[in-house]
Amino acid sequence: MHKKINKILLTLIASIVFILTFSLTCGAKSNEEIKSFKTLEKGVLTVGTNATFPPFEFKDKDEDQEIKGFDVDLINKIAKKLNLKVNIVDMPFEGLLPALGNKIDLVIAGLTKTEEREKIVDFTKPYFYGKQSILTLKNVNIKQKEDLNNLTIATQIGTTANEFVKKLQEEELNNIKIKEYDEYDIMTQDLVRKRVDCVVLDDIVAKNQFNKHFPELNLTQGSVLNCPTENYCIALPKGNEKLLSSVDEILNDIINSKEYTELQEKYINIKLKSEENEETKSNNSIVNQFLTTLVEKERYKLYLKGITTTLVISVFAALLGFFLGIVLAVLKLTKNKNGKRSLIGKIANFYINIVRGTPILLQLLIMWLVVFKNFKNGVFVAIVAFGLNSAAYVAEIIRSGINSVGVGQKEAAESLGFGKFGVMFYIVLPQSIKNSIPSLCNEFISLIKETAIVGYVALNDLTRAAFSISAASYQTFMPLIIAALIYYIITKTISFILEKAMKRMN
Amino acid sequence: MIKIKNLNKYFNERHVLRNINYNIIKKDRIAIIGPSGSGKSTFLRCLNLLEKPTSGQIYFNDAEITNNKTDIKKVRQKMNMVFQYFNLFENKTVLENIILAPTKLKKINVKKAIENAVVLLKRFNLEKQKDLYPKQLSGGQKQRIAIIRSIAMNPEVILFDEPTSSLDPEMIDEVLNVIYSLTRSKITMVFVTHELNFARKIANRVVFMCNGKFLEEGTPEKIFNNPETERLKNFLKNFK
Repeated sequence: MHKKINKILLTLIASIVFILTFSLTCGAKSNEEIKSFKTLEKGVLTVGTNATFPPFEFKDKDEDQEIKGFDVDLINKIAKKLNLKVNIVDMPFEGLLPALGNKIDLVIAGLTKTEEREKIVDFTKPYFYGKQSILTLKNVNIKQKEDLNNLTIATQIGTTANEFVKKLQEEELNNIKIKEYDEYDIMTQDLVRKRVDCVVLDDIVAKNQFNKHFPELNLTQGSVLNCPTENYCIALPKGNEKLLSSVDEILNDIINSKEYTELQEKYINIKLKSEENEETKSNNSIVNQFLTTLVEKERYKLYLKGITTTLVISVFAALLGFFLGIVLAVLKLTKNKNGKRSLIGKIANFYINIVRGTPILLQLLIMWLVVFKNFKNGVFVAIVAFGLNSAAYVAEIIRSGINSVGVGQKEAAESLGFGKFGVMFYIVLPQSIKNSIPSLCNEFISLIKETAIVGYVALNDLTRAAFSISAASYQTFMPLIIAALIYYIITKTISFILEKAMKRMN
Repeated sequence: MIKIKNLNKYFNERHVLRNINYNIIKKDRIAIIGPSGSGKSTFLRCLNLLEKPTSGQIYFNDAEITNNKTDIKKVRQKMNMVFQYFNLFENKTVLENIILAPTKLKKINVKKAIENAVVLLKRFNLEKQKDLYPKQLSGGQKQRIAIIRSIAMNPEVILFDEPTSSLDPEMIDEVLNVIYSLTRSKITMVFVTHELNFARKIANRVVFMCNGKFLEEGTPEKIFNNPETERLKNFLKNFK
């Protein structure tokens, strides 16, 4: 009996040990396979995206700016199956592909596969087909390309629709006019106001805009124009075949599963409003507009954040501009032995002329896209751009201040034994700055207003806040008027305080 | 102490100073008189190189200051100038005007510099004004403070460029009294002036300038009582 039991026990133990070792070695094997995916950081998939493209990737305005979206959910599912952790890095769109392989492992950013891009990176199979749609006013129907003749068409700069329409104009329909926009919100508003006849844009955005302006607009599929679709793909650095094929495989599984339909349901499918289920229009009194703009969903917080951004940029840029401007002014006035402007003076003068002779918006974009292309901190770049710009104006103000200081002041200081630097530093500069204070205050105030363009580099300043509120609340009048009012109050308060301070000084 | 050799100055084509040679000895009090436009102020301003001579040499304590190698800033610390229009630093109070150069250039500590300044202000009865700004002062007060600003540097020479010409008549005396009180010190003085009586009273030598030349030179006695040239006789006649 005992022997038998022993035998059974032994077999049992042996088989358990066998199964355990087998499964362990198996596990180890599959683990090894995963480890062989080359990622920049072991066990982590570093994903690059540009979170300004809802619903694929966007920052949640209410909750701590967390990056969310269709792409984010999708890549999380893929990484889970690859047994990797996900680290999402938000960077400027133009910086994404260059960063592949050195800062990030892959890019998922609503990125369309194009021939040019395929030369420098590998693409997975498409995971989404982006369609184009046409918005027109209710009474206009587009059924074929020819219907576009003699119409003014609005598109967003740099989009597929934009390229498509331009090609159409060049090759087939010479009679169409094209208007290019930065903001789709403004584009559709212009449609409603009949400034343009039709708008071609991304289907998802089009649906949102359709609902926003319901029931004024007509939505038509872009396919009636043979609008191309965009293939959204994940991009990987060239040569990582193993990771590419695994991702492709997993992508295929997901697309054919219920998970994908759930994703679409969550982010993409937008119910179009229709006459039947639309309730009577809500009360649109001024008070109500005011409440929707400020109180509803605590939107005043957006304004507050915007004010902070505007003020931070303005104040620091003004400080930078002030000190740099003084230096520039002094440099510009340096003379060589012959009493003519020195080389340094010429350089300073050249800088001042260039800055004053070009639009600040271009200067800002050059800073953001060229000079500081690897910087993520937009506020910093804006401060530098506006500081450098303001410096040129401050330099001219200070320079005329310096010239207004009497010769006697300089001679008196020189005759006591002060050198050029001492004369400038103790006598001339303090006097010229004091004489320039009113002009410097004006410069500061115009600086505050000029910062309204920082929205171009994705900063949420006061003006941008007005735009976002306008987009979210389906209002235009109130959000913009309130922003204007806030600017007015800020600038008025500042000039009032500065005036008081000046009076006291005198 | 100051040696001037073959000094010439042109403003473009205009020959303003014509070959001037002169020696100034320590403790000299030299009055330069002459008609307007004769080059008096230009001569004075050449002495501390506020105006650059076109040719010629100027020596200060045996160092040639017209030579680029000499640090003119150091020389100017010892040879100050008082201007017709005072030129007090408008961004500074009376006290700050006085202590600026001693503290920044001679590195005297601020406390000591203020003490010195207050002593001087008291001496000339200007202590009450010490915290005022130049634009709150009368012309006479400004000029007296400008002189104090110079004295505070403890200079060897003070150049006065028509110190009373822009003053109201009743303020001229208060400024002249200050200058007069300096005759008891060791300071060498050169002044361009139209106050002939004053020149006569305090100068030990008088120079009559005309057309960019030193036409006559001598003791006040000689210049005012026994003028040699017709030009000087005419000049003096107009003033009597």
